[in-house]
Order: sequence, then structure tokens, then C-alpha cells
Amino acid sequence: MSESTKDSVLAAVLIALGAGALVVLAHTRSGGTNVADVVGFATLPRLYASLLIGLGGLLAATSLVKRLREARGQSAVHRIRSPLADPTVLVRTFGSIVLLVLYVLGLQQFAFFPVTAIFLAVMFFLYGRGPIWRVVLVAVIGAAALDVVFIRIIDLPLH
Amino acid sequence: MINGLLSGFAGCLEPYNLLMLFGGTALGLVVGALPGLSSPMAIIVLLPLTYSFAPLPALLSMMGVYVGTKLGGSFSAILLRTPGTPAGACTALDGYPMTLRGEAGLALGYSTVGATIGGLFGWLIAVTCVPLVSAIAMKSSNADIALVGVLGLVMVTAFIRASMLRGIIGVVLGLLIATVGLDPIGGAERFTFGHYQLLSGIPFAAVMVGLFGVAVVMTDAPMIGTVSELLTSEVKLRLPGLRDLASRWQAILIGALYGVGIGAVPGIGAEASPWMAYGTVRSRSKHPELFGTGVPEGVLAPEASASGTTGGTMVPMLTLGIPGDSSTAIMLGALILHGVIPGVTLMRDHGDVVWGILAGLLIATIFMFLIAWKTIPWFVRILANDRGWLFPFVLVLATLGAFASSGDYFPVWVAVAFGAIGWIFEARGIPVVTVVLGVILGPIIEQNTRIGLALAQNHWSTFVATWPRLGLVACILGLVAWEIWRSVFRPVVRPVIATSTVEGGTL
Repeated sequence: MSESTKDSVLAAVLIALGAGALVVLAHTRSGGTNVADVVGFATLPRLYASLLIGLGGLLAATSLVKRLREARGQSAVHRIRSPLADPTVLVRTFGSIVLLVLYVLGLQQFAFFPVTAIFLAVMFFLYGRGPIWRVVLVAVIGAAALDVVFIRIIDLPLH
Repeated sequence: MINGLLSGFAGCLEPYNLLMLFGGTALGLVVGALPGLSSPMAIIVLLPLTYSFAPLPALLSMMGVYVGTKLGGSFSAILLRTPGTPAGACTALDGYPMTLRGEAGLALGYSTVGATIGGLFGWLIAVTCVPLVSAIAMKSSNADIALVGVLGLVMVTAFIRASMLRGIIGVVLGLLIATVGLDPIGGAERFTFGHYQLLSGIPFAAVMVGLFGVAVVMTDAPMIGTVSELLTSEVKLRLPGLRDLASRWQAILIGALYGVGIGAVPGIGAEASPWMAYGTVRSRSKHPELFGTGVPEGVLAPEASASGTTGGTMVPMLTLGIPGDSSTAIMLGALILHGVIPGVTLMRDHGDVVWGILAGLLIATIFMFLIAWKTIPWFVRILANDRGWLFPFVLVLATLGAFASSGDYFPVWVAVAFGAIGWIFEARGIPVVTVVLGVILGPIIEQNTRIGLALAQNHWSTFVATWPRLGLVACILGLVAWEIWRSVFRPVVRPVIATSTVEGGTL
């Protein structure tokens, strides 16, 4: 996906976000604010949402201009390789957030120590750490230390 | 002022608080030295650890980290030519050539002394200005505070190193995010969608954890597996002589002045000031062509500047509740978590905390010097480690930090979501610091605007009714005009990220 296409997508998201905010505000009831107030509960949020729509439009326009210039070969741009073009980086980046989601879900159901040890070990493998014995050792010791500090001493009520 | 400062020192010199300062400073030096880790990230992971502490020791540990990272970034810059912090990138220009000449110890000595003097200068300015600005701020009306908030947002979009359009998008997004929850004046529910957890707004601590913890791990994933080669592992810090330093006083002073001045401007932080200081010192030098070949002034100026920002950022943070950079934004969040509400009344209501933080700034600067002086060989060993071992722990600590903020899992999910959002923002060139400032300043601006208008019987002329307000409005309009001129006549060219390999073309 080219840069200008990504900017166009972002612009569309911003416009949708702004429009959605305006729709939600239109259906929001006031909480008893003095109707004589010039700036009510929805004034500034509406202003921000409208600005967001305008800025999204501006971003769409600039990305369109950029795309037209690129098509005509007029733009002098410095192209560098996206880090996400590397499959390993792609897997690590998205894998991190997926594993984090699974970790949080796991914490809600199971005890801290085993969930954290497994999370750390899998993350180390994802990041290409090795050898296996070192990964397991660091994961177990790390999880144990965190368990002692946050569960035994600080007493975080994770369950 | 003297009494307040003395009581601040008395608080800091309690053994427990001193330990927090020392530990925080040491951690900050380590974090600063390791490329890929940052001061905001380190402060974020301290959140769960310090949640059960009293406000002062919690803030002192974060202050120590904040001060330590300023110098730590230069260690890897000098030894690896890979800066540990963005501000350290400038130090590499002359620090690394000195290492190539076999003067690594001396380069580290210049950076340590420069950072210490810059930090001391910043402390002096903070201690002098904070009570003064606080007294003025206390006399400010709601309209004044609203205008200062707007000025803060305009300044961050004017000076941020990104396109103006993306900076404004970040600010507006932050402002919109800040409207979630109960309307502060009338109590209407805005964007809560019936969820009680959103009544008090999107959890600020969780937003910080997501943007500066989770998002940074995702953004720095490409750097995992890379370990820069140490040019030398046999390093002993060599302090420059007094005469040597005295002959280079201008570089140190210019650096410190830039640091304090730029540090006080919201949202810019320590990244820009070292480069500005370096450029000024080079242009004033009799031999500017020597800069970049290993000139001591090229190390002293940026280091003094980076450390000077610690004092500069304290002024708006402690007097107005406006953060100077990402680290102070998180510290403001920590204050709120501990029941200390930042803003114009902070000095009046929690003067002990303010003076304690200011005293802690000085002690942390001294610790920074002492720890760096005596433990450089340990840092050299740490530099050989790969962040692939550290990032998973950062994610665990970020999760716990988000959980600790309110004791349930909703903020954790908010942190995860903002982690993904922050990664997308950075990938699309929207600086997250603009979003953070929008989130922080949005409620300040809204509340004070609405109260100010109510007190003036809904007359908008109240915002230009006094000379200070006219001055603020003039500054705002002037900055906006300058931004428009800059974007029309001097547009920022961003590098285009292509999915294929280099296709040619030049900037």
C-alpha cells in the first residue's frame, strides 16, 4: 500500500470518527446544564469533531495531490524500505499485540505466575531469543520475581 | 522560598526517599544507555511499583529516572554511535570521533560534567521561577488559564518536528478523547455509551501506558536482534580539568540556556534543544569546521542542553499543570493517581510535594554525576544486551501498571487499544505527544473557558479584557500565522515509506 493510500485511509477514518462523534452528540441529552450557557456540554466536542472532519478532508486532499504528483513523476521523494516489509518484523510487531491480548485474557482466568512465565517464554521465542534452556530459565525466574513483588508484596488484586 | 526548599530537602533526605532517588537515577542511567528504551517507558513501568507509595517517594523515583536518562543516552552515543535517547544523537557527532581517537573516557567525562552543570543550571532556574510563576498563576482568572492552555496547544503544533497538519490532527484527537465522560459543568454523559467505567473519562494512566509502553515496543520491533558493536570495552571515565572546562564555559552556558528555555515549552522536550545548542556553539566557534571531528564543545553543549531541560520542564508542570514533554506528562498522571491534582493550586495545596520534587531534582543530578563517575564499566557491559530480552518485561510491567491504576481490567484493555493506536499514529507521522497534550489540556481549556464565560455573563470579550490576555491572544494568533506561513512557504518533506526496496529519487 503506498503512502498516499495509507494517508487516504487515515483521512477516511478521521472523517468517520468526526461524523460519528457528531451523530452521538446529537442524541446525547444534557445533564441539566443552564441553557443560557453560550458554551454548553456539546459545544467543544462538536467543534473538535468538526475540526477532525475538516482535517481529515485536508489530509485526503494532500494525499490526492501527492498521488497525482507521483503519477506524473513530479515529486522528489526519498523512498526508504518499510520495516514491515520484512516478514520477521511483521510477525513480531503484530505478534506482540496478539500475545499481549491473550496474556491479559489469561490473567483474568488463571494465576499470575504460570501465565506470565508462558507469556515471557513465548515472547522471547517470538523475538528470536535462545537457546531454549536460557529462554525457559529467564521466563521462569522473571515471572517468579514479578510474582513475589506484585502479588505477594504489593498484593495486586488480579482476581 | 528558602523555608520551602529546606523542607523539601528535609523530605528528600529521609533514608527511604533518598533510596528512591538513588534507585531511580541508576535505573534512568541504564534505561538511557540502552537504545530502544526511553524515559517515558521507564517511568511507565515504575507506575505499578510505586502505586502504593506516598506521593513524594513515588515522584522522586520517577524524577531520578527522568534525570538519569538525560546522561545515559550519551553513553551509547559515545561508545556505539547509537544514541540511547533521541537527545543523545547530537552527542554522537563529536563523542564517537573522540572514542575512535582513543579518548572514550574523556568524552564520557565531558558528557558527565556537561550534563551535571546543565542540570544544576536548570535546577537553579526551576527553583527561582516555580514560586514566581506559581504566584502569578494563583492570581490568574479562569479566562487567563484557558488562554494559557490554548497557547500550550498552539506551541506544540508550532514547534513539533512533524508536519503541522499531523500535529494539529494529534492535538484535536487528544481534545476529543478528553471529552469522554461526564461533562465537568453540567454532568451530561458524553461518549460513554452506557459504560460506567467511562463516566470519569478514558483512564489517563492507561492511555500513557498504552502510548509510551505498548506502542513503543511495537514501534521498536524492527530493532530487536540488533546489537551495536562496542568500539572498546575497556573504558574508565576521565573527568576534564577545571581549566579545561573553564575555557569552554560558553558552550556549557549556551547549552544550559537552550535546555531550560526549550524545556519550558510544552511538548518539545529534550530532543530539539541539544541540536539547537550544538548549532549555535558551532556557528560561534572560531573553527566551526572542526565540529564533527571530536571537539569537546560538541559534547558539552548538547549534554548541558539535554540536562537543562529537566529544570525547564518543571516550571510549566508544577505551576500550570502543563507538561513540558512525555516524561513529565506521565509524572502528572502519577500525581493524579496519588490524589495530588496538578494545576495552578498545586503549590498552595501541596507545597511539600512541589518543594520535595525540586529538592529531588538537585539530589538526582548529584547522584547522576556520582553514579556515572564510578560505575561506567558496568554500563559498558549493559550496552551489550539486546532489547529482545527486555521488551517482554516492559509489556508485563505496562499491563500491571494499567491494572494498578484502578484495580480492574478495563484500563488494561484501554492500554492495549492505545498501544495499537499509538503505533498507528507513529507510523503515520502523528506525534503521540500532541495527543497526550490534547488529553491533558482539553479539560483545563474547557472548564476554564466555560466558567470564565459564565462569570462574564457570556461575553467573549472577557478573553481580551486585560493586557495579559491580549498578550496571550496575540501570541496565539502570531504562532498560528507563523505556522500557516511555514506550511505554505516552507513545507516539511516527510520520507515516503515504500514497500519495495529503494527506488531512487532524492529529497
